[in-house]
Amino acid sequence: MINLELALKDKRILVVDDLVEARSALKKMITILGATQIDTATDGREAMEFIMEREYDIVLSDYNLGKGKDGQQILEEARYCNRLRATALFILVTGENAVEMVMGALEYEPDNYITKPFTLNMLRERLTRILSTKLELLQVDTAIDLGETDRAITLATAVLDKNPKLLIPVTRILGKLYIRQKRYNEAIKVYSELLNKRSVSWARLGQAICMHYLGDSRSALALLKQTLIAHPMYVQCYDWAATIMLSLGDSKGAQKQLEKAVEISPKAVLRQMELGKLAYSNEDYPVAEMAFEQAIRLGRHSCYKHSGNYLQFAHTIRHELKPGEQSREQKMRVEKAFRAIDELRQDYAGQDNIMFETSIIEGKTHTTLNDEDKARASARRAEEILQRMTNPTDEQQLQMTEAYIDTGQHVKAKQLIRKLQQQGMGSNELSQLQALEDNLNKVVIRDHTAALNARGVGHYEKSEFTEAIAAFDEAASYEEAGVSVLLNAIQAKISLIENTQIDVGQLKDCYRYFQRIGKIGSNDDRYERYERLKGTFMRLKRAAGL
Amino acid sequence: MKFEHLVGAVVHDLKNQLQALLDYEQEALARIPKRYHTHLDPILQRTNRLKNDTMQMVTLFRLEQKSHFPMDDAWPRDTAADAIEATSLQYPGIRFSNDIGEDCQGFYNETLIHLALITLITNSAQAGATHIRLTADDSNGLTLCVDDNGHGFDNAVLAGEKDTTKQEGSGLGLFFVELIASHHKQGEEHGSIHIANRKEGGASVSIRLP
Repeated sequence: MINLELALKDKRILVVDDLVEARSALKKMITILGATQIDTATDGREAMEFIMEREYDIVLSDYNLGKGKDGQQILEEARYCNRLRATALFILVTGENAVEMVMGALEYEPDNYITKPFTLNMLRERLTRILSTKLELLQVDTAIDLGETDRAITLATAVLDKNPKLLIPVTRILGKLYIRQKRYNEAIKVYSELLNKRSVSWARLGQAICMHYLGDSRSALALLKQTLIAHPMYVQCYDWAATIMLSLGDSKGAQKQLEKAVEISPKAVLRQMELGKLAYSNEDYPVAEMAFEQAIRLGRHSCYKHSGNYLQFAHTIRHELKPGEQSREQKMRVEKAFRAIDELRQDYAGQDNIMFETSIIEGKTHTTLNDEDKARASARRAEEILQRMTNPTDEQQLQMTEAYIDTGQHVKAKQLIRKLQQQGMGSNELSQLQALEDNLNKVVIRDHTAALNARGVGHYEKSEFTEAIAAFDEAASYEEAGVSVLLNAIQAKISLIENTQIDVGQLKDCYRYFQRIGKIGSNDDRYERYERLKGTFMRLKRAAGL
Repeated sequence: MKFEHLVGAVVHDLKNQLQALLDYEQEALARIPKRYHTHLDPILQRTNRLKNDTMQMVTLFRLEQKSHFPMDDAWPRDTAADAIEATSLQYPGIRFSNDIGEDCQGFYNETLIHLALITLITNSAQAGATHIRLTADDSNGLTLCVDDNGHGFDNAVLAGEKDTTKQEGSGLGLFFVELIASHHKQGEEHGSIHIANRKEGGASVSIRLP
């Protein structure tokens, strides 16, 4: 075994604990044990600043760090940002209650953990063991740091042959490396060999992941469920169950799994992001809103800060808004959405893609709130950005088209649609374009029939029935014409007959319009009017001898 | 809230408070001159005893609740050293021998086995032992052995007719150790304990983990 004092002497060490007594006690202990270069951090944010700035050989972090990030998240973030070499050690200090959570991590697992409370002697023994093991794996870890996966696998296998007592740590490494190389059968084999001797949950999770990649997702799911019965707090199993269910097309079930994972471990940004996306695509907007809000909050001062969270948060809220509602919830939601948009404008200024989408979602929100002027202003901003982009994507141009339609700029919408049609695009985008064009046509026709209807009403009020009928008939000639337009046309025709003479042609028109309207329920606002007109129509029909 | 959960929460807090108290007492001991230590030692010993007892209660509660105690690589020599450290304060008259090899490896929940060893050491001390020896063998699963030179077990206890040799004992100690042993499983196999009297006098308890 190693000489701990010598081993610690030249190591750069970071100690993270939110409690001052615990922090200084730990620092004192490792100083007694031989450490000389020690930094201390009080929370996840400070720890990450240190980690980004310096290369540490050992990070000793408490698991529970109060309000902010926990130790596991520091580890994940440090690995995610590539700030922890494989040869470096990350050790979590944890109460017995959390050991299970800490040990289960398969992808972002700490090198080891120390259970609290511990004495100086206990820390000495534990560190000696951890550093001795790490030393035996030094060549393997070095190969991993150099990206030489094949060599790392060969070396790890050799280490295990020489020292079978390293079965657990070596299997962890081997399994991960095999998965990285997509050698799933070999990964399953090493996990099985471990499970025959040692019952460790992460090896079961590893097997399930490999089974899934090999195409047997149902068996993988069954294995995960079985593991979860014994281990209901094993949060990574829920994550993978969600991934696998999603691949099987069960997105609602996947969302449920992720919700459970978030309930157990609510501080993980990536998980909240996943849940947000999934809930959004499931149109479960309240869940999506909560998840994106957490992802924004937790990611704000980390390398997980991502414009997508803000944008998707704003999109989610837009779906939840009800036009014209004045409730407190609505006001708070609107506020939150615009705060996210403001934050985007502050933090991502100058990044055209992000600014473009920011303006698009801002405009959509205004449109939903019936705020036409502001919606147009947002569309203008988007337009400006789009014009200076050298290579806007199809999606961006489609979004712009939609914004034009939403803000009544039909000519511009039509022009852009034509341009896109000429350019040609993928089948998916093409069907979106088709939908937009149909929508545009509908909107244009709706506007047109509304104008015709208004003209008809104007004539009618001046008792110019022939002119009114002409306008209403034209409006009714579109199949999109609504019940009110049809009733207006009928009323104008009846009024003309009553004021002049029986006209069989007009009566036949009325009959056709009634057919088009079909049945109207007695709850309908227009029911009375419909019944009254129908009565008069029947009387006139009899009078005409039809 | 269920009564048992309330009890669980209270005991858990008690454990934390006692740990803090213990830390303060040790801090105080380190600061005052040696000649006054005799006044503080008994307090420290009692606190330590109470902490070990509450640890036992917390663990019993969690075992009862079918909590999951994950197992991992562990080194019996270290676990034994920790148990000796945790009890030697109380029994300064006992000589301990940790005869477990440095490379001897086990696969168990360290917190649980640590507590089991503390319980066995406490039993030995209460049986009048002045020498306690810990050994282990990892050639087939893991066997941990605690031998003492106390008065040994009554025949009735060895025959399984009685739970305790102590006049006022509850038998909780051995029951607790047995519970911990059987919590360790590999496949269908559970851990177990074995008790005996040594030829030379004194008791011998072994914990066998699969």
